[in-house]
Amino acid sequence: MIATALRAHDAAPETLPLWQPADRPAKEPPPRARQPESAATGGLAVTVRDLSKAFDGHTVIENLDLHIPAGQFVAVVGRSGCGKSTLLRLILGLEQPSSGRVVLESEAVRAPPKRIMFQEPRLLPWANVADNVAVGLGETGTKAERRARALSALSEVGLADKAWVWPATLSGGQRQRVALARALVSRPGLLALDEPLGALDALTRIGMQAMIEEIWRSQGFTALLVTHDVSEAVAMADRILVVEDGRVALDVKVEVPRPRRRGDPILAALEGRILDHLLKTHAPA
Amino acid sequence: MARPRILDGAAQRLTPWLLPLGIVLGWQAASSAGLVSTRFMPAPLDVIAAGWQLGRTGELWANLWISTLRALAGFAVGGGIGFALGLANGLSRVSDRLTDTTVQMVRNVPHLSLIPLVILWFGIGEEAKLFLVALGVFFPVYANTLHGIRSVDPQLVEMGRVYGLSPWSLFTRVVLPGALPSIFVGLRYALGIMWLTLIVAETISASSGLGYMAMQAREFMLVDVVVLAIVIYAALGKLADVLTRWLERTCLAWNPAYRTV
Repeated sequence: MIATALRAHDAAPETLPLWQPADRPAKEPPPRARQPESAATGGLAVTVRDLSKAFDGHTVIENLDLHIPAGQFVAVVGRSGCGKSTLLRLILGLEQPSSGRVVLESEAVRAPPKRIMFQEPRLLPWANVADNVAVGLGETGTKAERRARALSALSEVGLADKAWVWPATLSGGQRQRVALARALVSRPGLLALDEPLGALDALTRIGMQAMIEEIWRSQGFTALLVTHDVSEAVAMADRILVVEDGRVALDVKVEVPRPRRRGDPILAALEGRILDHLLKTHAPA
Repeated sequence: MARPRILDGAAQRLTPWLLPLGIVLGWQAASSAGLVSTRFMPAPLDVIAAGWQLGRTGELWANLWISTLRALAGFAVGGGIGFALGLANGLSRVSDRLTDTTVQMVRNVPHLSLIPLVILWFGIGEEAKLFLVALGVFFPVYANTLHGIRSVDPQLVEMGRVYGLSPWSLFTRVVLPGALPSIFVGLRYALGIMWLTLIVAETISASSGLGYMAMQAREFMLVDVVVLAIVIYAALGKLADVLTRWLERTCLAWNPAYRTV
């Protein structure tokens, strides 16, 4: 499915992502039209009103207002401790706000679930890869259904041939792909990514970025990526939020058509602007 | 290529047995040469003969059977309670606060020191043995189950919660498998303590069982039967160990530390 998407969108073969396995199954589903309206129906819209969060009297998020339309890919960047991870956890409901509120809205009759991909893969070492992916389905479905959906999610991340092995036998990048499949298997309306690529080597990371972007384009969920890597944010997101001292200090749209090329001058200029902002406001005295 | 590999495998499997075999052969040779008095240390062949004799009359099997029943019953009761309380205290703060201090206090009393009291309570009936074995087995199972549950990776538990697992699923799919390696450690300790306690209890107060058989033999100076009983203890210990190892390999196949090559 991903390979098909690439062929449909990208004529240049040298930009094929690095993660693409050589032994891709020959039978591909027919190419599906990927229209913007799929994004409108699939995603959750996020509205944050006057949100504050304090831990033991120390304010981490302060009176933050934010609206993310359904299907948008938003990157949140900032220094360590700026509150970006807390913001993500608040939006997902992993933390309770001290004041203010978070509203998730969907146009679908049954709201799609929200999922998070952690910095660590957090796979169950005692369950094989397919069962780990099936965890993402929660309690729904029969065993056969769960297995079928897990396998299809695994083939989306190019790991169908690893379905029956233990996680311990996988590489770091493969484990994160399994974690991605687990996050995607329930067709979430909101996917939160909490620096999921931070521990990977540079080449694997670029491959994973391309994979996440492609899957996001085909499924149309709202993506919320927390990262400290500005170039990653610029390469992947529609919109970049720079968080400082618990507030949104900068809110930039990235108006560069996809698929984006690494080293695009507009992206490079934008990256420079954001880095300048981050460095200037916190310049060492 | 195939034959040497098979031979290699056989050699590897036999290597651990070389030392016990050598000791037995040396012992037999020393006895045959008259270096060791058979009054105090019977020759291995005499022990085998005694085993044959007792096996033929059925005395050996009857005693082995009754001892095994006692051991398993005590293990089931003590291990069951220890496992349940370990789970409860690992999962519930209230239960932990209520009981853990008491358990830790009682744990430091050597359970065999209760033998006089137990004889006063139960006489030399079955309850005495059951009580002692259960008490001995309880602590290692309890402590290791509790430790296992406490040491489950909290990141995995958070993941399970976020991904919408029900409390029961969270327990069976995340917490229990995570605690299993530690629970197995407790199981091994418990099996060792189970035999130890039972033999001591049977030696002191019983009218049947392996320990009783050895005590009776001592009364009549049947050294070969005493040694036979000791050899049987060793074999039973090894059997329990093999069983737990097999269980570990089956249940913990995901863990590289337990995987067979």
